[in-house]
Amino acid sequence: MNTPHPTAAAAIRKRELPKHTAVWCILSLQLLPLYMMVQMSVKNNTEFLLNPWFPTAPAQWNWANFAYGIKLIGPYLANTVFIATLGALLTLFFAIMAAYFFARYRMPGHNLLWSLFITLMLLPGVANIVPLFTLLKSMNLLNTLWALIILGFAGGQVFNTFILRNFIEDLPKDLFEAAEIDGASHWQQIINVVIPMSAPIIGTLFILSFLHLWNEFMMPLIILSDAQLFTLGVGLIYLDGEYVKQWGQIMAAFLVASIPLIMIFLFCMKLFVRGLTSGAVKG
Amino acid sequence: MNRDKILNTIGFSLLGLCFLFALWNVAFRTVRELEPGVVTIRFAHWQLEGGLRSTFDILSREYEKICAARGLKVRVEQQAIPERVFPNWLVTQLVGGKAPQIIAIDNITSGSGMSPKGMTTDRIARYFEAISARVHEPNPYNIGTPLEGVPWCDTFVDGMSRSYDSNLLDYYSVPLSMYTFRLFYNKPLYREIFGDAPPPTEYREFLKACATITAYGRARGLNLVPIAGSKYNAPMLTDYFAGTQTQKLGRRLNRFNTLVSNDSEVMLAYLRGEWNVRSPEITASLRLLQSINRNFQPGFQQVDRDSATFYFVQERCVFVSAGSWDNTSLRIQAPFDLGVCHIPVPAVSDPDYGRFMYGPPTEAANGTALAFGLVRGAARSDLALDFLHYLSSYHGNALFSKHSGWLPSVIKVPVDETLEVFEPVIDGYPNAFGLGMGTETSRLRDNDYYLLQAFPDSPQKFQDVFERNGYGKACIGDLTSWQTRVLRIVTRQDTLLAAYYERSRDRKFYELIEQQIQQEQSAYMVDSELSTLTKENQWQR
Amino acid sequence: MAAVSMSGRRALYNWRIYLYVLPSLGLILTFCYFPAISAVVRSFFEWQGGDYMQFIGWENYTNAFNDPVLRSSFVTISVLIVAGIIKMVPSILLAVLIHRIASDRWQYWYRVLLIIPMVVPDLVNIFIWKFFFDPNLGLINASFDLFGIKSALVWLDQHVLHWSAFRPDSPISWLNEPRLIIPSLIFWGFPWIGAMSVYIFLAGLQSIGAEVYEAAELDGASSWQKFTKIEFPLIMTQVRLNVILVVIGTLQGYGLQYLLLGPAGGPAGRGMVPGLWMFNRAFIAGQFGYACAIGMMLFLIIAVLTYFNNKYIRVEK
Repeated sequence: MNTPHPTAAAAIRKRELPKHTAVWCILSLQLLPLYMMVQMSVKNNTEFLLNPWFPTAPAQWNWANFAYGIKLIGPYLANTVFIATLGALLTLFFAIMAAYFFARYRMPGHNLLWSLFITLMLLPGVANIVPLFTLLKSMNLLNTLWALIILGFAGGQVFNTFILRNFIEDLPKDLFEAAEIDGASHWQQIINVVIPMSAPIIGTLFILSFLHLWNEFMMPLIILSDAQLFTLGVGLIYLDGEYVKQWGQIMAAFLVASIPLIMIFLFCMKLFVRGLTSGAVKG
Repeated sequence: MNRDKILNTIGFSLLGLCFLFALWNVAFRTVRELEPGVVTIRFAHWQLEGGLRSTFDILSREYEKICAARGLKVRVEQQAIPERVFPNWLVTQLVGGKAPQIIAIDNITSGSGMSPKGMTTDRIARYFEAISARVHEPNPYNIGTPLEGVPWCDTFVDGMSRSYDSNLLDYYSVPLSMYTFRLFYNKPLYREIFGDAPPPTEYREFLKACATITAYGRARGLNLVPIAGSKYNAPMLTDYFAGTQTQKLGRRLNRFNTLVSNDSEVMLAYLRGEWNVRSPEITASLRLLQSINRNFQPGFQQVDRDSATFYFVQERCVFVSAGSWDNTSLRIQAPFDLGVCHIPVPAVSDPDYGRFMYGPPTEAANGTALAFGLVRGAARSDLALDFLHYLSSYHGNALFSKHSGWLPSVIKVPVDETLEVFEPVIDGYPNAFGLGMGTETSRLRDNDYYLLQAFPDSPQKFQDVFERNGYGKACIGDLTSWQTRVLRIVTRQDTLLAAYYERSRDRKFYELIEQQIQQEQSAYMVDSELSTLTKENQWQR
Repeated sequence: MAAVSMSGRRALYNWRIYLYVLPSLGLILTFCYFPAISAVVRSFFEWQGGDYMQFIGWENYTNAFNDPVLRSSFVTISVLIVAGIIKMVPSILLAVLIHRIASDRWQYWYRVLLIIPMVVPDLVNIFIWKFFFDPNLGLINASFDLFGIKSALVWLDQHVLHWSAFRPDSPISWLNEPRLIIPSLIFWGFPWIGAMSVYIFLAGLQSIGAEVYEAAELDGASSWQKFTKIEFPLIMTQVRLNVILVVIGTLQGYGLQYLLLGPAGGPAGRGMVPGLWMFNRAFIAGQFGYACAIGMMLFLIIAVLTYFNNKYIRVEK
């Protein structure tokens, strides 16, 4: 790109400025809850009541809130990491296979099967919870982390298959044909063509599934009865049930609970942005 | 590009490491859990109040020690389920058969046939173990205490009357505490405003005190409000006041002359036109309620229970109405000295409100609370029952009361002097009824409640809308579902009856028949009353 | 890439391909369809959530048709759906704004900033918004006082609306005035940016090449014209997809109403939506069979809406 003329540059800047301002205005409102969460996490209730909106000086920060948060969240962390990672991995494993089926071939029954997937998005699920529970019971899965993992990846099939199918359909046909000529099986085509070509979207979907499982609280609460097995969501809902809310402690606990997510975002930001923008998440 | 790849790799491998750690943790735990010979007893409740969970932990550890001394390896685990999700949790646990051995049973309000925590008579019958056979035997843990040899049920202040299910003819739960409702106040702040004056004992004094507080705050530019309220505790206080106004009406409407007001009788009386939302008693109770409502912080109906406490402990309010169950939470939270006094209801001599009441309300019917039931068919329910024996023993209950700051449920257990003010008032007259008596009537009342606040000077608007919105229909709805439920219970008892008939036609058999007759009679009475009323085309069913 | 069509004998020969969809299919059939279908069956029973069930035919459905609460909940939800569709505007605008920004670097950073709030758990969002709405401490009342909006509202109320919802002497209690509940629910989450939907729109906008803009510039198109003539038609597919998602999400949703207003839907029951009523009937009143019937009706409505959306609002890609 050739460097624009100085006056032209100024003109561009002038034209760009309102756009930037508008974006900043919207984004700052969007970031408000995060800001609140962070600044509240170092206050105690009195400080918060006197000054709910602005951060206090670092010297007054109440680090004990974080100690409390870690103490509360700590025991649940391992379970949650276990469920979220395994659940997200399995979600994608199965969804990639199903998406391959739908994207590559139009087998007899294709439309019927696809509508089976899509219809699920329309089902409201409050009253289903009791039949589901009885089902898990008869499968001997109650009070196990596996139940949460299985429900996680069963529930994630529709969304992920939907998106991956779109993505795989857009991959160049030649790649698959070349692989087929080389005598690659379907499985090898998935390993050698689909996964490398759609790495960004797979990474992104992984993070999304992970996030979803990370934040889940209703199912763990109902399925798990053993305190050792509790997940973060359960721990956090207790804070909601407390009769005197220590806002600082609550926010600190939530912040501690978000640290793994922040880590993933920090390192994989570019991948995530690329994956989301890659056009896979379209109609 | 390369840098991104490295970052991505770092990100995902960090996650991988975390996962491995988690995996190790989870796998390791599974091994530990299989340690043989340890019996686990789990009990569940919804009490997240300050001090209670730690008290239960103390009691659990004590019990484990006692068992260890007997050579039994026992682990007691408590599960505190937040109130908001308790109904869902309960239903799924019971239906799924994975429930803990012991679950807290809430008092079922007679009108809705259901407790706010999702417990129904059906569920108790189906999923809980009757303990009737045991309640007349002494509690083994009371040996060597003042209660030695006393039958278990007689060791409770109410003789376990609350634990007896009159539909199922059996005892189902073991209570640990008693609940009463009081007014808490900020002692230093109160002294600052009123000097050494004692807290108000009567309604007019209370109103005057509230006015003084408002004036005091205004004069000093403070944001000071008399009472801290929320959608949870404000109705409790106002209902306490409003309930005094139906004392006489409730007795008049009660055709069976039971001492406690009977909700289905009251609803039928409404349908017959014996009272309505504009009756002087109801108008008075609504006015009374409005006069109290004016003294909460603005917008109180919008906020949750914790916000009221927040206001109070941050010294923005002088009073907060709260139950004895909030005592410890408040003491932990408040950075100041707490005062507690009785609810200052109107005196009989009160010019506006005295004539509808017999006198100050009694708390004799409050009975016991925080009751636990045994889940039927659970593993080692013998030990679970033993644990309940321990919790409700002289020593166990004393330990409970001492650590939790809650009232004990067992007689002769010493009550800490700070708790004396919470002890139920036995003298007085029962408050009768409020407008919400079942699921539908309560929903209607909750929905229209805002009108009392939007038009604070007169309840007329509320009365208009309330009746227009179909209070009668809601009464019919509640009565019908009550009656269906009773008949279903009667049907279910037939099996039991057949069993008794085959086995031995003893006292229990005749008791059950009596009970069935009585229940069918009341159900069909409601049914016939309802069909007469609907036939006269006054109401549509 | 067009999918390879296979029929009859060839498919039989390549039967292994089916193995790839089988696990997913089995999963959803067992864990999603089985409970759902058993809920359909149970909608014809009087069922309290236990073992005891009594067949009552269509009674749950006829009751539902005569249920005034359910009827008014559908009115409420229609308002919320329309509002939900309008609430997509800021997301579209933001996507267009970001897309039009010349610097790639800034575009990237704005995208990053957009997804950062995703680390905030849903519960925290609800806590904080609830706090914004607090009558005495909340940000909304504070800023209304600051900018004098409140006195304008009070004037409006006293002279035009006669709601007595805005009173000069007391703070506005947003969640306690029946007339303010739906507005509050609509305002909730302002500026209503869904990171995912912005990304969906951005993906659509990406297909616009620089030359299209240059041509438009030569024709002297204003930015509004550029939006209506170039950008909006191109993201129409994405907008449609989003509309479906909003409609489905709103129709099924009840969590927000439950957490804010409780299971009775708040003052005058104005916040009652079908999902919440389903929850209320199931877990508060113990009428699981009836709740299943409401669920079925919701499903049918969603299915019909989706069908029409696909059939008549078709936009060519």
